[in-house]
Amino acid sequence: MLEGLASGFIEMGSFTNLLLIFLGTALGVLVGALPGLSSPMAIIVLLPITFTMETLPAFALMVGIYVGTKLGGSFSAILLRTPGTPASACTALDGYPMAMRGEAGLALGYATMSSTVGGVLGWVGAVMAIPVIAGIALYSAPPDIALIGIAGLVMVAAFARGSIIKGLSGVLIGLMISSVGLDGQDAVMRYTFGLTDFESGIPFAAILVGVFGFAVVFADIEMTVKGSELLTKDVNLKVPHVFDLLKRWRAWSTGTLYGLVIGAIPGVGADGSTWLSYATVKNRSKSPPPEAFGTGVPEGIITPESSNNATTGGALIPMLTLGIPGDGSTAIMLGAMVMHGLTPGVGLMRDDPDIVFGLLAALLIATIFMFFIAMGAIRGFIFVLQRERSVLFPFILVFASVGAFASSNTLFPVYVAIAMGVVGFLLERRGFPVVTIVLGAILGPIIEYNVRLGLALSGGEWSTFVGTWPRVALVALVALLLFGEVKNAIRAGRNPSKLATPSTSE
Amino acid sequence: MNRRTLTKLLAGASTALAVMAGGIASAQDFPSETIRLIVPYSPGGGTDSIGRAFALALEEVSGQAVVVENISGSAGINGMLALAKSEPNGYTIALNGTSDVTAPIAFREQAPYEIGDFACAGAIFNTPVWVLAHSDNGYGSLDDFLEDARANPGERIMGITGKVSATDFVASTIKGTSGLDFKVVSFGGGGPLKKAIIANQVDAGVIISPVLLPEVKEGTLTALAGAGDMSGINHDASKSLGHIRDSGADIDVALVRGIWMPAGVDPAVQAKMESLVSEAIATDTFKSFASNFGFAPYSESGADFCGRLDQEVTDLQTVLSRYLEK
Repeated sequence: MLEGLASGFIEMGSFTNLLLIFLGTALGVLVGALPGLSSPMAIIVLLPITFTMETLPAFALMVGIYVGTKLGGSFSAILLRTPGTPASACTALDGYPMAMRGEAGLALGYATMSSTVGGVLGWVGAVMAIPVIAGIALYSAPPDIALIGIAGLVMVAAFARGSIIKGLSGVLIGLMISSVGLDGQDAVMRYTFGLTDFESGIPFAAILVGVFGFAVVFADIEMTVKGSELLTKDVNLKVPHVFDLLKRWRAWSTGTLYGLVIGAIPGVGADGSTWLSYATVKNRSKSPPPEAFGTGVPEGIITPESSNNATTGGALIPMLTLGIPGDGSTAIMLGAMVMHGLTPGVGLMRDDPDIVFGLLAALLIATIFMFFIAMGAIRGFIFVLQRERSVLFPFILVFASVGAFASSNTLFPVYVAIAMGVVGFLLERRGFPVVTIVLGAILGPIIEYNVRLGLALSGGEWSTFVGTWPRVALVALVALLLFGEVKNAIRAGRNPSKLATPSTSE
Repeated sequence: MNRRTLTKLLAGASTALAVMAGGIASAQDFPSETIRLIVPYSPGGGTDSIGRAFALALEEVSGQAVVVENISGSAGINGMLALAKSEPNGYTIALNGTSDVTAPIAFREQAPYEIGDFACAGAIFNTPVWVLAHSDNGYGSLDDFLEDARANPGERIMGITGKVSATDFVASTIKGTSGLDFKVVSFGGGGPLKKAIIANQVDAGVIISPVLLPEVKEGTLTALAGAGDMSGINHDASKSLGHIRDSGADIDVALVRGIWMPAGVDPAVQAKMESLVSEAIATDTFKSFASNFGFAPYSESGADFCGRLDQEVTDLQTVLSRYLEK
């Protein structure tokens, strides 16, 4: 094992491989930062080039992109409140307010440092616990995944600033949106109105660029009409000190653990782990108090960022050892393996250990490169903040539209994005937290699919949800969370002055 | 006639001439520009990998760049609609399975397209559906599973990729002809079903071969039966796998993937594409992909490939009305 890893690092240490990892990571940071363009897309575009390469260099490039996009997406989430990737949507909650205060340097610095910490610790955890991680990926049955999703939904209050009713309404809208389309169990069309476009559901990429990208532009048009102004007047380039990160160990350790474990579960991955870890850290936080989350506290950036990079280790292990992809990017890498003459699956580790260990080495190297690339690029990215809004918005609109289009190479997602932009803008003005819509749209399909599949497998027996000890623990967790939420709501009702932070538009 | 109309008329005429000239040129030295290959599914799946390997091989034999475009959504319908709407000049083609194209026609009240909207340039793979089980379950054949299901009515589970899919036809026909009580559970996709079979969360699974072949070779999984000619599979023991017919389900269900063109394409261009397709699957590039993929390429003329469609629609409707639970 250690021997294999050592030879993996030696293999990846060649100049060409290091250069490819570096280029891939740099490209990943850039692609991730562009709203709508994602890591699977970047890998797909480069795929024809990699066919002509040797196997390991080809994967060095792909792993670089994979790692880089996880951080790059947060840069646009922080600077423009338009997440570059779904996995970075959660970072916008605290990242954007922080940048608005002129602390963009701090925000980007925290994102970069915690992504690196999450990536490195996630890597160590994944490599040390290969059988455990592979086991989680394989034996997580539908009821387990459904319960994790429900736990996430119960934590919604963490994202509903001000009014819990408005937060729940947002989640319901998200759940309703996610129920549109062909239902996978019974092949019934739901809310499609006979339109073919609706059959595969409302595309999630379009919802994301809509409620963030488009809505942000709409909201700020008012301001632009009154005369151009800079996003923020003073931009502080100061980056955080290592000590600032170390003392917030709760945030990054929680984020990393969630990312590592949830990242290994196919179909949940980084998109889900960021929200779950954010809610956990927020609910248990003493200093800063939970109410301060969402106003730009470092913990709100550190948690999701360490989490989304920790998923890379969690997703790669099942891909390499079982041939089960954890997310879109690893699914494409699996396809690329076949093109390179490899047979992904249970035999890969035995037949081509050099590839497995080389890939794992590349993952760590890419994470470290990401740190230096991003730290060096912060100044360049902040340049964006110093442009006039009226100059920036056309770019956001173009990138958001391209991103929506590219999700299926059809125009339909673009219309959805525009519609969701209008809806998001109107709701935001009335004080509805739009992030809860995104949360509902992410978790809705996961919960529904797995609850129904779990019931189908058990023959309609609900007892399947408490059939194993991990499930009993998850049910207990959900009950505990619910109890906590109710208690908080009652306390807040009795004592309105203690109620969270004032919502921005009310 | 005023001047504006005249100008319009002239402009129209010259456009028409240009189109005709272009048409003549394209038939003679086709292909002379980039070819667009539509894959109607998201990147990363089985058909996508085949499309990318085929694109490489087609580049090799045609001397033109071939760009893969994933137009996903609505179970492949979006991609096929895009093909039907594209200009029939031979530069837009698609890769898809016959049953994926016929299922929407067979099962929908309003078909999104008609068979007549497409032309065919030949098959490239013909991979039967197969029934697998985790080796821990101890089944050696489909009969063993059925025996077990008979002994435990309502207890055993057979996983399928989706409702009214090729795998559903096989499972429902086995269930219907045997008259046994076991559950057929849809996983809504090949990926989740694959995982459930490896994790032994279903007693048996129906999936398109050669998916999970590495695990069968490894011994983790056992192949119970095939629903067609398995001789092309890259595994000696599986070549002689029993047919589901031996257990009473007398149907052949395979995914025949081939190259589609929009209807109205110049016959000369179509013939040229047809020969390019058969050349492409004979290249070393494609053969080595196929051996890794786990199944030998399958050559079939455009006429034969398109000829499957009408019969398939009828068969699908028969199976649906006879065995499938609505």
